[in-house]
Amino acid sequence: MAPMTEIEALKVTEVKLSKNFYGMVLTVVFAILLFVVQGCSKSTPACDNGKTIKAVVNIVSQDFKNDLSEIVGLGRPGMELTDEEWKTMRAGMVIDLENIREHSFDEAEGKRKCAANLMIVSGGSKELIPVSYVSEINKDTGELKVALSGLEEYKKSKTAPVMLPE
Amino acid sequence: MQKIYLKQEVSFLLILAAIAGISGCKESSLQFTAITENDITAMIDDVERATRDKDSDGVIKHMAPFVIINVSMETPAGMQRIQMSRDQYKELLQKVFSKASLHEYRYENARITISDDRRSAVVETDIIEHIIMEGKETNTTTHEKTVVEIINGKLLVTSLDALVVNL
Repeated sequence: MAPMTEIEALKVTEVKLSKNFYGMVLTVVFAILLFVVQGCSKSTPACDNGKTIKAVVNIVSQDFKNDLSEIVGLGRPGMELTDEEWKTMRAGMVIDLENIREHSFDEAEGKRKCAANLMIVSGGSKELIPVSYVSEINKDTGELKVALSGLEEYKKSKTAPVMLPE
Repeated sequence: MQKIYLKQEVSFLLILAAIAGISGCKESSLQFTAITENDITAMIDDVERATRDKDSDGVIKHMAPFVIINVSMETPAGMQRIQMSRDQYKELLQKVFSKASLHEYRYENARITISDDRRSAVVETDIIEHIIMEGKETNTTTHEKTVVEIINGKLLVTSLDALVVNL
């Protein structure tokens, strides 16, 4: 076997270096991709994300259940609304969100401020309630936390006595 | 040859990373426009002008297509509340505008509360109206609570609660 000339040796070194260089670039690119995918997957889901909507609907459903429990049970022990009774009542009710809007997203806090029309269809009547909610991911547990407002105000306004303006 | 393939691969992955970065986190790069008190005042003034001109479109244009309108009033049968869509409200306005021989309208006690993120505002006003319709004179005071939001860069009413307090 003939010995390599100086030029041939240089070419071999260049190919080796190129391979190393592109290998490094590939690793960096993959690292960036992983960072992007992981970073985004942990961010607070959008206002119209299925998980967020479900969390809002659950809050409303629970609130209605509590209200009904108070009426049915009249505060007496053993007279509370059972889960089975609530499931039967809830089956004929549609609770959903319409026209979901995002007001703001605080990246540092991971909080999304959202607004929507809460739709409740029950007994053939449809009611729309303007609501707003703040969603955030618990950094430790990764759990989605949603705080809803507008429902209490709406319930108060439904029963509020007529008051003259100041 | 191998070098060219590697170059292409790297370019492709860089493009992929850029797309992932842009699409994956696009929600965080939304551009917001803030609500100011002057914007709200201009809007209230414009609604007042449109009402005086019997211009239902001029009133409706400030409302989001999905606006929730609740009108409550005390009746002999107790408190009654009607929920209306934007189209139903427009129909009602057109009816009043066409039948009223006199319609005096003014607002008082405007209170504007802008949210911390300046994306929404709550506006409370007392609307004083004097209407003569089909020979019948009516004086009303209505307490209105309105929510205004920025929707697609526009300032629009997304909910309106009107409580007729004085018939």
